[in-house]
Amino acid sequence: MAGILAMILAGGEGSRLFPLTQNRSKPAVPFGGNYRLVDFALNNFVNADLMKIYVLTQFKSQSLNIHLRRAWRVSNIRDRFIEAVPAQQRVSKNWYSGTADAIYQNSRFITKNNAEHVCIFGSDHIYKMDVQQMVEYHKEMGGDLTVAAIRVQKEQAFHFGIIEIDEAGHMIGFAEKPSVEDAKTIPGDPDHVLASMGNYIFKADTLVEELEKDAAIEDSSHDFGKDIIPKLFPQGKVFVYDFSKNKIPGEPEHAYWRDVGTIDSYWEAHMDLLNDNQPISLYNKHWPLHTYHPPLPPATFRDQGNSVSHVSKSHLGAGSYINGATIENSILGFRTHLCTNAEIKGCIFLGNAKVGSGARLTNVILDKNVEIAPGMVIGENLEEDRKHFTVSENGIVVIAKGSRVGFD
Amino acid sequence: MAKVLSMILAGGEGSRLYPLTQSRTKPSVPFGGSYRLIDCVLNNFVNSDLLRIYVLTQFKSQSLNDHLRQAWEVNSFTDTFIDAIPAQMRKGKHWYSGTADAIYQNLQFIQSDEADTICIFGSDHIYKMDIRQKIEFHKEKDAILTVSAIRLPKDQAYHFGIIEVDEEGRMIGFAEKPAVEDAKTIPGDPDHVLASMGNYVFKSEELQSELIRDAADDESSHDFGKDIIPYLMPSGKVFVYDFTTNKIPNEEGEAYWRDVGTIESYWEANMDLLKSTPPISFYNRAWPMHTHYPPLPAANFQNDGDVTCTIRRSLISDGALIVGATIRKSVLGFNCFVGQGTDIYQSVLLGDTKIGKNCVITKTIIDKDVRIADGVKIGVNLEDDKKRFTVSDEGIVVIPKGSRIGF
Repeated sequence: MAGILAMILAGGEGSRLFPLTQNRSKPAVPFGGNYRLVDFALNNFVNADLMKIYVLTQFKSQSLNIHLRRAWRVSNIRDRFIEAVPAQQRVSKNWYSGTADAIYQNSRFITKNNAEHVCIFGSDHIYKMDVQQMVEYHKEMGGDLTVAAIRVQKEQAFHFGIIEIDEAGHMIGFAEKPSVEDAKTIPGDPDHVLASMGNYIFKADTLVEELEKDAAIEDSSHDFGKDIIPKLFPQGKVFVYDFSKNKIPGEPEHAYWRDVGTIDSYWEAHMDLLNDNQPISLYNKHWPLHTYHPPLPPATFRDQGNSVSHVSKSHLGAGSYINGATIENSILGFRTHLCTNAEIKGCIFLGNAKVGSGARLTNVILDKNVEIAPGMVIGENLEEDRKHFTVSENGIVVIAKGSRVGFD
Repeated sequence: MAKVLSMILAGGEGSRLYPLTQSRTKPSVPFGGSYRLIDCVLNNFVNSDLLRIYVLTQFKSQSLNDHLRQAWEVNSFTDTFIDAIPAQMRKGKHWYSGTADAIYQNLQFIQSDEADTICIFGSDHIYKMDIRQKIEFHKEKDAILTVSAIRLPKDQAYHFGIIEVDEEGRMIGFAEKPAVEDAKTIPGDPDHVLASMGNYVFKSEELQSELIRDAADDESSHDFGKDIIPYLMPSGKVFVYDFTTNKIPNEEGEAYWRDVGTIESYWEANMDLLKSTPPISFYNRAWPMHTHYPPLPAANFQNDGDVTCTIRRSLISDGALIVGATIRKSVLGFNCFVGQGTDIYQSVLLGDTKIGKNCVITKTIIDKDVRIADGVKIGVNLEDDKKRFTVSDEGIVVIPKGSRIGF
């Protein structure tokens, strides 16, 4: 579609996902066995045939850059591209001070591409959206800005930025994490509120103008949610796009959208993939999820003697090598090597892990390149685990990239 | 390294692999879960840093062309390429009449190239070879032609084209599938023979003049093995490269090379991948096996109530959904669905296949896009199976692409 430019904010530090973000920015954190978080936003554009995309990077972006180059290189026939743009200090010697500043510092790309509308999306949520449908709504309403929002139960309002709308879909108010009694419900639906998904479509002219005005204000935090939108919506030209109206063939009735900003929410979103009701599935031939696949053979099951592998409710990536082990409720990425009688329950392996024979891991996240010694038990005594590893509020143990655990 | 141009013969009809070759040429037959046969030879060139490759296609090549485009597009500003060349009737209105004719009809690509060394390789064998080492041997011997050969026990000679060599490795004789007692053994090794692997390295100029000479010979069958090599051999400039001397980093043990030209050998080679010490594996980080990966999630294992999946000695590719089933000694390609209570044993599933509940599938090759209804048994009663399917002499059942069974 001509005139639509996408700018994806991929600079997030993701400090609440530490130690998974020790070496990489949040969008580059692996997810669901084969993917990285940024793949979800990119697939939402690519599957919607919107292929003029800048990915704005900043924090520890090497891992993200490699992923973009390997997985998301677009043939340069026609004017399609997916291009990483590092923070370049073009406007001043500052790093991006907020989401709006990140776009402001790159606003020349908007002019350069003759964009009519600019999609500004985050890159650290798990969801599927046909962005084309949101673009159509934006054009139909003729507003300066359209904000995507998801319907959530009123009781959950305190987790989110809650948008108040009138009956025509105009945004008329906004409250960051309001108490349940203060949260403004949807007209005609007193049980639900609209939570901002942090995805915006702007009229290009308005965007450039607003960014320039905002840049000149010294006490602005240069953030879309805090600064730009509160100034725009009173003018009556900001509309809210109800994500539940977005329909993708082959997807379940209820829209799924998760912020995976903490270790616990990251773990839970993985467990959603294993849930019998499948609130989200990575498998839909009408909405293929592209990513980079390293050159690896299929998951390989071997056995020593008479040992057999038992697998239930789990995903297992290519290049894995399972030697008579038990796997339950786990998502194990590329190159998972499990030795005889290892027991893995409720775990997420980001890739290239080796677990020695007889080791037992329960509710453990292993970052890449981790090796666990034979017989180690992790996740059963959290007091003990806290001495060595990061343990989340809900008791998920996280073992940092490159760790070798239990060896002398 | 000298400038090298490679031509891969990928026109094979593969009639002995029928029905797997019903709708595709032999080099594009899936293998080992995620691969196609042609990936082996292409990885040999790519991992040897030899990236100037023409793939000569002819028979039912659409599937092969798709695969080459999806998996093997070389995107480069340097002088590297992997290009498919369909048979174009450049030298007259006929298809390729033999392996030498296939190259002759594309002679212009060699004539217009600066390469002084031309590799001509088949595309339907399973093996790993660092081709640079073979080219070094070729240069060292100053050969016109170097033929690869694998050392085999003498008693297998009757399966292969057997090459006779002198002590310097010069080719001095050739016999197609000789009797064991007639087979010429290797000097100094009376228990082994050298079997031709059908892979050639030529000096470019000599290859060109030889192809032109052969093309004019009405009696010739225009085949490298039958016509070109016997003609060149007396010059004393044809050498034999012993494949067992080829070293791949991180790999030890006997050199592995299999012709998968029949249903039986195709099935056996898949089973080789599942052995507890596999004679060939596609795991080596120092020799990655590239191919096309469709956009699919990791293999997914679900329960049937309390029944978990039981898996032994198997390869399971991305996009699989296995629900409380038992899978033993089997290779499952991309996108296989296996229903509750189903038992799959010694079988090869090429991919995009859905098998219902409580089925028993034994020693069966299932081509792509097959649907099998609940409760179907295949490979259990071969007499029955013979009425419906291709069954090989050795009792391997083959289900053709797109079949609907038991509905």
